[in-house]
Amino acid sequence: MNAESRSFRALVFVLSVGFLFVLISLRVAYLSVFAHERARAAINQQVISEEPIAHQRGRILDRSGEVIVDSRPSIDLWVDGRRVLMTGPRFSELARRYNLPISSLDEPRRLLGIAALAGSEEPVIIKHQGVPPKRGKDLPGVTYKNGEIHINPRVFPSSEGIAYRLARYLNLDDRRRSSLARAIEKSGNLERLLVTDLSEAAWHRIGAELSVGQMRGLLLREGMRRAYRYGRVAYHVLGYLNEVSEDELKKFGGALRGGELVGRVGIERHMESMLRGVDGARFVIRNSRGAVMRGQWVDEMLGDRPWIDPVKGHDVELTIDLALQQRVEKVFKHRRGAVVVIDTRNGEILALASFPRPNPNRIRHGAYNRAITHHQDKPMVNRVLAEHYAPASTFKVVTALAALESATVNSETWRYCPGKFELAGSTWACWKRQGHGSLDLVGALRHSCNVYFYKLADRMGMKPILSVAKELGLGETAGLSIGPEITGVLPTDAYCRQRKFWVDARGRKRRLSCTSGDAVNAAIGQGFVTVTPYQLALAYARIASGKRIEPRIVRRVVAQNTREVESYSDENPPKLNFKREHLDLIREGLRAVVNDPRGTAYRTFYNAAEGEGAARLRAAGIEVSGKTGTAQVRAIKRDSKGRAIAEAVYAGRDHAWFAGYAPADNPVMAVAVLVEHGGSGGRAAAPIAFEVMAAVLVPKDEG
Amino acid sequence: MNLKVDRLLLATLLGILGLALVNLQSATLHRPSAFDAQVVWLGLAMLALAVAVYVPSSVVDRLSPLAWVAVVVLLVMVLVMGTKVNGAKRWLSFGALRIQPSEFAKLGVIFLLAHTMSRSRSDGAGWSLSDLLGPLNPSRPVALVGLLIWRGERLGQGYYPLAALALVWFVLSVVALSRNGLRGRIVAPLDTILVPMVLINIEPDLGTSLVVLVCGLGVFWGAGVQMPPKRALLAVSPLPFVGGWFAWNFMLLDYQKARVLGVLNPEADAQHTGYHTIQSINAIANGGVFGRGLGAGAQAQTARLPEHHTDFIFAVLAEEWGLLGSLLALLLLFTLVLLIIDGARHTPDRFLELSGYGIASLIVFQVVVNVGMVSGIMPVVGMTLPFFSKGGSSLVSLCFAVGLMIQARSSRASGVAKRQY
Repeated sequence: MNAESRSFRALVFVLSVGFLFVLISLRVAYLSVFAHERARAAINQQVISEEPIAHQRGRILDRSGEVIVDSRPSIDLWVDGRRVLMTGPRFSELARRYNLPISSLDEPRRLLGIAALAGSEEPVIIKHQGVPPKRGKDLPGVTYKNGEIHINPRVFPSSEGIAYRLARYLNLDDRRRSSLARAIEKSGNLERLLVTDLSEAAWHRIGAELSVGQMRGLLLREGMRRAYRYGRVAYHVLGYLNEVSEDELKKFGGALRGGELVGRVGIERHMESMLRGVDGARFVIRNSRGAVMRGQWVDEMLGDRPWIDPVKGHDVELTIDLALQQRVEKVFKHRRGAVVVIDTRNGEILALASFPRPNPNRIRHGAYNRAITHHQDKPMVNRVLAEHYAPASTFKVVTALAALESATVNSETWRYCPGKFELAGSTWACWKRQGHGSLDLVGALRHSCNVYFYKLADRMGMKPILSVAKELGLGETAGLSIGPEITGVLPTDAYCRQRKFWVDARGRKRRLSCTSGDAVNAAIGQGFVTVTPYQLALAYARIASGKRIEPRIVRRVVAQNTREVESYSDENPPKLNFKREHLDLIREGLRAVVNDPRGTAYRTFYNAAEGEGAARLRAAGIEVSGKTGTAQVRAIKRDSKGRAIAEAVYAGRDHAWFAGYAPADNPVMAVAVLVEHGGSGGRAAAPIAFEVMAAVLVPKDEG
Repeated sequence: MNLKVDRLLLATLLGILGLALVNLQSATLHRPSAFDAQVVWLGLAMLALAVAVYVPSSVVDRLSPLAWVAVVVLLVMVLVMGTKVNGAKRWLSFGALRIQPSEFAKLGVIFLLAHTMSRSRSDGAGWSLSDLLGPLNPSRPVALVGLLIWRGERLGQGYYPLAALALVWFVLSVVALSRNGLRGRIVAPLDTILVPMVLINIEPDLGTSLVVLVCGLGVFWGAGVQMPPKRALLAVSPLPFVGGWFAWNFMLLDYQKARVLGVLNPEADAQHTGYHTIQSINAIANGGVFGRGLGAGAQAQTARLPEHHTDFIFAVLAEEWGLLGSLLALLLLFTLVLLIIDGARHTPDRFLELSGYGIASLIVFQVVVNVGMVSGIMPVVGMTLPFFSKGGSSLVSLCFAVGLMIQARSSRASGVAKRQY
């Protein structure tokens, strides 16, 4: 080997190497110098993320400032779809590629989840029938071999694997696990809230996995969780929160972000604008595992991007008395129905309860939500405002007042009750078949005699009844900020025409207006008249006070720095448009119902056992006024001897009403109680009302 | 052992190692344990360096066939009982120790080739291409049959012509053998390269198998292979195209093809193939001229750069040290190669001379392909940046190789001294 060729080879080698090094150096230099600005912008955009800082929603307080609902910090689990998807295609792609029904992938999904959890490398195999797919188009992680699709669990969707891991940490059942997997898969290019309020143990274990790069795409974030401190108590006042829907996101654009919670019913919904604060914002740099980076370089990159503090929502103070509300809900036990308590002096609603009650703390759990939504007892319906019932005998005060106002009767007018009433060939029976004999107005109210009121209605017609009902607040919504509300029904001509029609010989629809028969029915609160428990309580509160009080449930709204924002004060309501002596007569009748030995509620009040509400009221010398009502749900079937036989069937039983106020001569509170299918108003509803009255007027520790 | 160690090459090596260590530390801030392991490996590498400098090259020369066989055995063991990481079996685990035999295979090939080619043809006539390839060598058609058995189902229609080719080839080889006798042609230099290369390719590790090939070609260059006549070159000139077509359709895996396409247009598939490239290009560009500072590279520190402590470590260097840092690294590496070739050119030891070309080729190829890949002008193949990427086996074998070349330069100095006195 001569020295010359040796040098030649070395020279050529070195020159070639030099050429290559210069080439790559130039490339690097080009990037460093000319692509610099563009890359900086791209990196800033990619690396710096603006993240919301959850605001604290305003609290809901009772009238004494006791906190009923507040928010506390929670750790939430989010998924960032952009980062999960990098691990592989989705099952929908797989199904499309190999022409498989998506349901046939359920089992492979499960197996993949287990394999991913175990870190297995063994492919999951799906048998494939039919035409083999075209060559050369396999999805990443998927190979097709002779009628079998092999899926590599390391490459193919991590959503199942993640869901399996999460299920282990969160103790999820199979159904919740697969819905979690679907949520991860569906996250697309969005961030989604997966699980709120992790337990501390789950938070630490998931956090540990994330910190070593497992379960890519998941994020732990601080959020706020709504805490209903007393569980079910006052659910129908408070309402609940739920995740904002996609439609709403579209509608409200920038105001809301995905995964946020908004009020759905009750105060939470209707005072949303007050309760809602403003989210803050901060800019952070996260590494690919989701950990927030710190250090000088981070500060430099973030520059003067602002940190915006969140603004707390306003506190809402209710007129509800929490202790009373709790007492009401305890007394009502496991029946269905409603109770409303109104302060007759200023219209403040002291308690409002509908039964059964869901638990707002659990309402966002899918299974619980489905269960209560479809439950036959309809726990989600607010029976106080959004359900209407025939008022039955409790409506007789309206008829009586109408008769007085229209001068159809006066305090000296007597009517005879033979036990039945005939009009235009039809017969209406009194509840007492043998009849009440001669009665004046007070006596008629006391006995709750039907025939007496049939006769009044037959005499005066519908008009006076309607105007009195209106003056007392029936047939109208309250505009309480806890809706939805309904108006109930009054037998106006418009309503009768809508309900009563016949088709004549030419096929034309002929409508009928109200007849005297309808008025007779309405006189005793049956037929075309229904009220909500709230309306009835209001009517009795107005009778008790003699004023047109307007109830309200929100006392004031207080900003976080305890500055009052808005207060809803008593504005001295006008007097009712009734003669004073007429009202006094009605009140006397109502007092007799409870206090006259012949009254329908007398026995309930005076025979009450020691310790019961009625007994305590009695002991304190407080008299109660009120009216019982027993609303027929369906025509009572009677056996050959005329005895009712539907009693035993729950759904056929009458609704029990009691509406009244106390103390009788200087009323401070009005109460309406409805027990669905409770039977007799005097027996089922009145004791509850007395118990509630006693809770306010004779607090236990004093009496 | 009064050897005068060549300080220039040693200093260059230590400079590179120092820079690499600082950079790796910054790249593994979020996982300090990875850095600690590398420090331990660096200790082993220093030991290997000392051994290579002081143990006479003749010992390495004589042991090289054994070393090659050992490496092949290790490579087979990898396929049988290797540790799988990211779907590829490349590692052998011995307790806490995890080695990558393919890194040692590079040196094994270089040393055996240098060993073979420094001996035969000592008549000075130089190696002809047919000596190297041994085209009528029965091991080749046997290997082809092996391939058909291994990957037959991927070939489809290509199976039958290849089977026929193997048959004809085998018959011709046997005939040629019976005429010319054995004459050391059963394992031709090409087989020295091909056997480890195929084994590595099966792992699969396309990048490293290409490095093995390039190392062999480097030794060939150093040995000075006689070119065949022009007519013969013309006759085989379509072969690369046919081979390329064949490889594309039947040998490359889908993800490998996607990576080749990714270079042509990284933005087209930004979420998968092109993602790595876009991220590393951004990192380099983000560094600018002076760099973002140690531990302050947004791309590196947020780990948006994939494999940022192994294959993509250059991007970390470029982002944090800037253009000045990357040029410094490239300059040091170039100096290293220059000194190695300088040593090879002047050493009286033919084994060291040929090894030098192999080692230089190894470094150059890996540096150029790696930096090319990171800066987005070459396909993404799994290839590390010598000295800089995390990885113990690679560091140890590189230090050993450079140590040998330090010895080559050092012995030259002492040889000159001997002649003078």
